Amino acid sequence: MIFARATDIPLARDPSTRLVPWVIGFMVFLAILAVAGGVTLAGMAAGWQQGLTGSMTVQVPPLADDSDEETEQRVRQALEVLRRTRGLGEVNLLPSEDMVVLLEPWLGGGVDPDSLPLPRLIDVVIDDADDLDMDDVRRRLAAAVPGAALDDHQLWRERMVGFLELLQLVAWSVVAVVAACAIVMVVFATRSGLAAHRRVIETLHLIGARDGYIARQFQLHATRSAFKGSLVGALFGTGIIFGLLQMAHAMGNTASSLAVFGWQQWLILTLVPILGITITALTARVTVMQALSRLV
Amino acid sequence: MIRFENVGMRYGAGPEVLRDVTFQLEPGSFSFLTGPSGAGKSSLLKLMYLAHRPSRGLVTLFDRDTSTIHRKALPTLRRKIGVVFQDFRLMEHMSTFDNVALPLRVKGVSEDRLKKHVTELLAWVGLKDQINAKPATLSGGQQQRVSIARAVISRPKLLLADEPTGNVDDEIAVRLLYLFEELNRMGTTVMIATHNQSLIDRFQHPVFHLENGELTALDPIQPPQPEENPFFVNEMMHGREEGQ
Repeated sequence: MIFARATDIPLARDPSTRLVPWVIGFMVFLAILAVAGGVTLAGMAAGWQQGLTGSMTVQVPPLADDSDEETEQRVRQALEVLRRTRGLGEVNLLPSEDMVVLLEPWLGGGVDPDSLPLPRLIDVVIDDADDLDMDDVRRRLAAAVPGAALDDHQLWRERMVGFLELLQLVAWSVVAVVAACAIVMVVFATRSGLAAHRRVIETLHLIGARDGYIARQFQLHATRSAFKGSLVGALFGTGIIFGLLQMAHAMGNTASSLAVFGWQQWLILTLVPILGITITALTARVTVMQALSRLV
Repeated sequence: MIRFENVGMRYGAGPEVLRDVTFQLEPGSFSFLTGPSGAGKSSLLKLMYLAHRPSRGLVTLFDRDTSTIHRKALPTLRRKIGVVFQDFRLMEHMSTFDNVALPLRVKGVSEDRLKKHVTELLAWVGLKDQINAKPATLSGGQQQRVSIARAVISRPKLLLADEPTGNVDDEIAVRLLYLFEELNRMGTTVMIATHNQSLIDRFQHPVFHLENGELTALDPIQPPQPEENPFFVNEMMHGREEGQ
């Protein structure tokens, strides 16, 4: 119905409006990339926060005069304190082999853990954070195992989440700038159209056309242009995101955080072209209505 | 139907182009508006077809004061007025059919109903064969008839024509005047701005004379008494293709 008849104003012939689909397409393409970046970072931040708040690490360092037997005794005491604490789930001593893997990037392969005064690490899963009194755990651990240190990763987590939030802000700012550019461009193209077809618009006005009737002509044209451009921009944008995700999966663990891109994220991306079309149509309408309000 | 009381009009900050204009048009009347070029005929018509608002004075149209009426109500009033513009103002990108159909489309008339009315009217004005032609391919007289058809398609209560005989020969001008009289007989109030004195002399209708923006002479308004129409409208429209 809305595309049934050619418009009364020959907007499709305007050189200034011919560029609109291309510009909208490019804007939608950029916006899709920025939104994809934003939602990926949001997913990563949420994942990290959840994963790290769900665990903590206890270090039991060997004391200067301690024998291996005495160190093992201190580790057992720490494990006991932790296992008797409410709110904690699994409490596991990190095996020596895993310690070697963790140290490999710094000390290289073939390190004998027994030849170094390494602290013993205990990985603790937090079952119920509301039930857990972190200060009480620290106090009891310090009393039972002097020198033991509890790391709930809070500092590191706060810095990483802060950094990710900053990156998200950049991504959303890019989206906002792209939307603002699209609005400015549509306003400019619409005003050009109004100037180019001033006589036709005046005639329509004088034979009794309401402002809404004339604005609808521009709105329809803008919607058509934005639809074409958005479709192409969205195809290219989502194609690139899909390619990046495939590459991220292929790269394995180091990039696996990109795998947070699920159906919700794809849904958000599909909203980008719809939003682009809506913004274009509304901008065109408001611009025309504003211009027509100056006529008698 | 139309009443002007001490109306003045200026474009922007310029001088007044109309001064203290006072007159009244009765429903169903037929009148001429005459005067030299630049006298303000087109400006007066612009006030009547609501392209401008008066700078001062009172313009009452269909019993409504146009200076106080809300802007949103103006399109409804404009739809009661048919205008034959001096330069036709046809849509160059549209066919004859679409040009004539435009006022009905603006009013939201369905395409089915509209098609019947437009086709009938185009046949009546002798442009049935030019239904798909663009204005650029039509002669001056044909364009004029498209303009007239567009002005009357929605059966306006008031028909205003600005120099409608300006670019046709005398015989066609006379034929056009008979057409306007025909419309007037169907109840449309008609006012024609012209400086063609021979036409004014030939047709016995009240004459408003403008000089330097002032109404200097006003013939007594009489009920329209058109002379015997020597042409039938159809004969007029089909009888001769001007410029060919």
